[in-house]
Amino acid sequence: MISAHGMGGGSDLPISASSAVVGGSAALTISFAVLLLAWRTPRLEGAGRQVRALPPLPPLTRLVDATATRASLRLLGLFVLAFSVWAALAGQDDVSSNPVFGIFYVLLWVGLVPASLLLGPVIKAVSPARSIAFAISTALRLDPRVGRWRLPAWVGLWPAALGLFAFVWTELVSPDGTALATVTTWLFAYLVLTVAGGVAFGETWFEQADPFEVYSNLLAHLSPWRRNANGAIELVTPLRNLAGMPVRPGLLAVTSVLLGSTAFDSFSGSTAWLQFTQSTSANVTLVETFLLVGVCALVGAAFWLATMLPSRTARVPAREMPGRLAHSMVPIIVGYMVAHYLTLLVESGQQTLIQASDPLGTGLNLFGTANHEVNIWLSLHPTFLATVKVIAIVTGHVLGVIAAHDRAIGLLPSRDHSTAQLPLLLVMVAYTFTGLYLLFGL
Amino acid sequence: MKHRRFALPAAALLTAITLTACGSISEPSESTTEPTSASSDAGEPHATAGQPTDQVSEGTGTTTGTDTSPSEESSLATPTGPAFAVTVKGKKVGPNAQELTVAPGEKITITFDTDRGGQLHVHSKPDQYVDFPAGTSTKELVIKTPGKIEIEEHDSEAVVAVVTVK
Repeated sequence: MISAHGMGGGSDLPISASSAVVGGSAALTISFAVLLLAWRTPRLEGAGRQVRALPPLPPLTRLVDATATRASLRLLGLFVLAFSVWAALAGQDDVSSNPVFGIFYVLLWVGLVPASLLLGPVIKAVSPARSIAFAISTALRLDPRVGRWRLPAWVGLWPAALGLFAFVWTELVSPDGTALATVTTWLFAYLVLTVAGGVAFGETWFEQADPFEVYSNLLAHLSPWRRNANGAIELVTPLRNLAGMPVRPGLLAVTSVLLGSTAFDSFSGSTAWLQFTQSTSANVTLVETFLLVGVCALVGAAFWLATMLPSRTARVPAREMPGRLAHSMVPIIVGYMVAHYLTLLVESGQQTLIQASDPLGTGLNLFGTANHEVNIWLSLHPTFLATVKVIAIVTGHVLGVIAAHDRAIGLLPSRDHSTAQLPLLLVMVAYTFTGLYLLFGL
Repeated sequence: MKHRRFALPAAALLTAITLTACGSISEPSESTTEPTSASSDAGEPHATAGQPTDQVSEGTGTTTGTDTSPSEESSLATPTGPAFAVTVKGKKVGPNAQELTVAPGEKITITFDTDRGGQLHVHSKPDQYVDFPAGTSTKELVIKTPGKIEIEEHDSEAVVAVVTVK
């Protein structure tokens, strides 16, 4: 796990105590202001309330849906896959020269966050697994959209939650996370499972089981783009877009793995933890596996309890409440991801593009980037970086609180609005304070 | 009403558990900000590493690498500044992720007492490498980019120091 952090060199400086306190106080104040002073009827969703909805954009829809556009994006995805396979099979087993590690851990995993926030469901558009499954289904004379069998409804997003856990375990816990064999095996297993499932169950499988596509679709619900009932692309405020996220079984598991694993990464990168792992005779991989499961479970259980318990009076069964509110974790996840991976994306991302020109370490310069140098402006401006992180965490928190408030008042009778929301608010404050603390203390 | 009363303390308790659980493990040790003689007397991180303390203190604060039992006297030989001592004895590599705090561009003195040659990998931006021969030696290291930088002994993959550059 040590060399995983060595992807791009050292980690960021901790944030200052004052910015942690300022960020924490802001989060706390705004939370209670939203709870006590904000609107009393849902504004972000509900039929007939879209008075100010913006008109759809037919030219943009035609451009995005044009066969040429779709085919180009599919070819781009297949090209990146083929390039990665080539680098994985022919390149060196060395993080500092082989771009496949950066493509996998940085450009794909972290890069999909800003790409989906800005452009919408990008993984769906480029997914090579979808393209391969499409080709196989067509060859087998199966309808690629519906496949051979129907996926039971209870499956929901659970396969994606497992896939996401497998990814974060490989990245953060596996002792061989930066070994070429590990990445190659992971990618191979991912392709086989995703493609086979896609042929068997059709498009539902990608929407519910492909960890990258599910993650990207989740974030796309915070983008300014969505499709209306007729399939036309329209501009929408991100919070309204978020409120339209479909509720499926396993949604809370997906968000818990994403948030919990980022917290675990902060924690396990601390010097105190490093000293412990280097001095203990215990099986560190096993201990960290339990810890990663534990953190994800704690994040999910806290949310589940806080949304379930005060909901006897709600208009839906109490067991449905956690899932119906889980979308409000997405902005908090984005805040954590920005705070945690911004430097990695910017600086290791550049490193990966430089390595991509010479994937085998043989002196090639395929894309003309081989002789570039990484611009470390961000690392050289630690105060700016710390400010961005605190703003990201607090903004994510505020958007999460607003999204939860808007959903909760639609589900709860008005006399319980404030009191029944309090447990969830406290859990969100706990997420945010933990996030700030991890940035500050470790 | 009952379940609501129950939910509030439950949520508060979870919050408290979450925060304290992280707090108790992550306390940074203050002693390491005084790097010159820290490795000999601070002791607590290294003791757990199974590293005999005398090996660590032996290498500290001396450019010649010979035994200087009263460590106070060595200030003549070494300029007071950030330093740490790397020991390699068989499979034992120390210190265990010793913490240092330096300014960007400040000189860090590394003393070596090793029974084999090797290389330190400094995970700074850009990466740096410090080769060391078998026996005792002293090297200097300068890190210019701010950050929390791990210094790893290459063969054992053990992190011997974590330098906070700010």
